Order: sequence, then structure tokens, then C-alpha cells
Amino acid sequence: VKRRRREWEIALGSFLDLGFWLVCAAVMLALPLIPGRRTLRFGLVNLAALGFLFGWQAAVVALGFAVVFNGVLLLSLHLLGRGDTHPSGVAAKRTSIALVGILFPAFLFVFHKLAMEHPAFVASTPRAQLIIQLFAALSFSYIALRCADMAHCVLWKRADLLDPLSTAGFLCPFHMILSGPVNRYDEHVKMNDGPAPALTAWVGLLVLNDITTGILYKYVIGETLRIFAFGIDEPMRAATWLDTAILFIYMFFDFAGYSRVCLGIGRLIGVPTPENFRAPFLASTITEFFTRWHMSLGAFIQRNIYTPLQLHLVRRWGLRRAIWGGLTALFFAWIFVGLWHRLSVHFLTYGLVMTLVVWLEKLVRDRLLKTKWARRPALTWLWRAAGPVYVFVVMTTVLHLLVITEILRV
Amino acid sequence: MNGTTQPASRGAIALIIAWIVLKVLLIVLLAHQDVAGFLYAGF
Repeated sequence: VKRRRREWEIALGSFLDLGFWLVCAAVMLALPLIPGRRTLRFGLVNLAALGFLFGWQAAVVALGFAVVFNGVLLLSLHLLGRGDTHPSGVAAKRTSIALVGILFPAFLFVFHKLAMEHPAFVASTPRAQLIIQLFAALSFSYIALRCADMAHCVLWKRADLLDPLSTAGFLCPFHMILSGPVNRYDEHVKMNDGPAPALTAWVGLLVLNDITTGILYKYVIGETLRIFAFGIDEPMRAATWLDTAILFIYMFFDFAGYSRVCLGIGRLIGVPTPENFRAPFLASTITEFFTRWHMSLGAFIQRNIYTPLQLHLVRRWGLRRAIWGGLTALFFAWIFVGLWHRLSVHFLTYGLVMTLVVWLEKLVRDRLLKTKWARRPALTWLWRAAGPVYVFVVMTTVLHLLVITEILRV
Repeated sequence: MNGTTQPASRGAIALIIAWIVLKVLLIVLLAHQDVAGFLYAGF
């Protein structure tokens, strides 16, 4: 298991490894040669890529998981279909929604998170190690999010259900398997609507630009910052506020660099890969910051938690209490974001604090918009300059007080 | 998908190519722990 884990780690962090890029080139060249729908073609080639990069077991697990998940969705669709005409349809609908939309991904997700919180138990039980490794691979946070997005699209929004091979390509794309981004099911299905975008010289240039920027961010700027701040082969630490501030900048270059490389590969092979970062340190409010930092997670939360919940609550409670509907939706969205990172009290508190900060910003903004002086151009310019400092200080303080130690533990 | 795919002017293309070449040079020179370590020790 240890050897396997080590191989995963080596392969997953290997944007500097020639082997990874040979696989990317092979995927790009193989995709147009295979007949059939584009999602199916990518699903097939992706399995081969997973096999080359992480071993044939990984490809088998990805396909097996996709078959099971597709089966559960098909069953749910069947139950939902019956629900349209049969009096007992409501119960069937509720059961299937609970089964697929909540229980199935949630079970795997919680299992994985618990295994992360109790490594001693996993290490002491050889059989548990194997089972938990398997579940950990299946329920890896990003795969759980993709499952929820797919279930939401297929069961609620009546999107087409893809075949298991295509599903494996959506849930476990080889270039987005480690740290996202969270790709969208509806975008993935749209691949079948037309031919792959042509790889012109201009697109090739954009691809090169994305990939070189990503590698420069992650391996040059991020790593140099880490080495200068903490030393070579020294563990990163967050003893002081300044340490956390450096770590915050390091996390940006590391994660944004990784995401940018994924974006470039997605463009290269014609697979929808969402943008994940857009100059977050230029944001002038915390609310704006989270529309620029880990954007694909923010978009997932908006699509699958915040907007549906807010709409539901406004319909239920009426327009006069719309503000409370918004606050409740915000609260659950942030609690989810907190616990998605880790099942811990610290991350729960992080979610609560962020709800409060975003809500306070909304109150202040609404109040200020009513006054004339707040809309003066000079004041707007001043806030554009001072806002990023406020965001950086608040975010670093929250990270330092609540979660940085747990982030470093990962 | 993924922002603009519209071709740009010749000047913009030349600028992007120069930027890519600069990044590749920086990566080749610096994206290696030994090089970063050498700089760190020198610093």
C-alpha cells in the first residue's frame, strides 16, 4: 500500500516529468482517431492514461465506480419516471433523491474524511488499510463533488445520462485528478454537441502560455518562495502571522499554478476544464475574493447549494423574508465549504466566520449604496487600492487563527 | 470554454511568444531544487 501510495504521489505531482507530457501528447493524438461520441472517446483514452500514470488498478477502480454510479442513477431515473404517473411516485422520488443526491456521495466523502482524521486506526489495521485506500480513492473530495453535480444535472435538470465510460472520463479525468478544478457535468455533456475545437496555431499558443505560466507559478515562484522563507527540506510552519501570510501567497502560486496547467491541458485535448483563479489578491472585498479564488468550487456551491436552497426558501417563506432565505443559504453553503476541506471543529468555525464576514460585507455594502458620498469616484478609487490590503489582512488572520495548522498537516 | 480563443494581432502574438520563451528560460534555470538551493545558499 505504501509503495502504491508513493507511486500515486510521484505520478500526481509530476508536471515536470516527461512521462506525464508524453501521455498528454498521446491522448491528444489518439482522440481524433477513435470513432464515436466525444465523451466516449475521451472516457476510453482517459482510462488508458490513468492506467499509464497510476497503474491499471486505478483505471479499473475508476471504471468500476462509474459503472456503479451510472447504475444507481439509472435506477433513480426509473423510480422518478414511475413517479410521474404512479400515486406512490412522491415517495419513490424522495427515496431516489436521498439515495443518489445525498447518501451515496456523502457516504464515500465522509468515509474518506474520517480516514484522514484517524490515520492511526488505518495504519494499525492491515485490512482496513486496503479497504480505506480503495474508498479514499473513490471518495476523493473532487470526485464526490462531481458525483453530486452529475446527480443534480441528471435527476433535477433532466440532462442526458452518459454511458459508464464517459462517466469515468467526467469523474476521474487524468489531468484534473489531484486537486480539481471541479468540472461541470453540463459542460462535459456538451462535448457531444459538435466536433472538437480545432487546434489552431493561436490555440496552441494559448495552451503553451497556460502551461508555462502554471509551471512558472508552481515550480519557480512558489517553490522559490517556500525555500527562501522556510529553507530546503524544512517543513513549512505557521508560528507567526507573517509565516501564515507567506504560506497564503505560496498556496496561491502552488494551487493556481497547478490549476493553470490543467486549464492548458484541457484546452489542448478539447475537454472542458474550468478556470480556477483570476488574480484573487486584487479583490477589494472578501466576497469578491471568493469569486476569484478556487472559482470552480465557488461555482459548484452556487449551482448546487446556494441558489437552489435560496430559491426554495424564498418560495417557502415568501418574499418578505427573502433576506433570511439568503442568509440561511449562505450559512449552509459556507458550512459545506468549511467541512469539505476537513471534518473538524476548526474548519466548521472557519465556515461560520466566513458566513459572518460575507454577511457583514453585504450589510455594509447595502447601507453604503444608499448614501451619496459613498459613490464618489475618489472614494471608489481609494477602496480599489485599500481593499486588497483589507482582504489580505483579514484572510491571513482567519487562516492563522483557525485553519493553517490543519492545512499544513495535509 | 476557457476564455477567448479569438486570434490576436501580430504584435500581441509576438509579445506572447516572447513571454513564453522568457518563462521557459526561467523554468529551465530555476525549476530545479538544486538551482533553487544554490541560490538560497548564496543568498
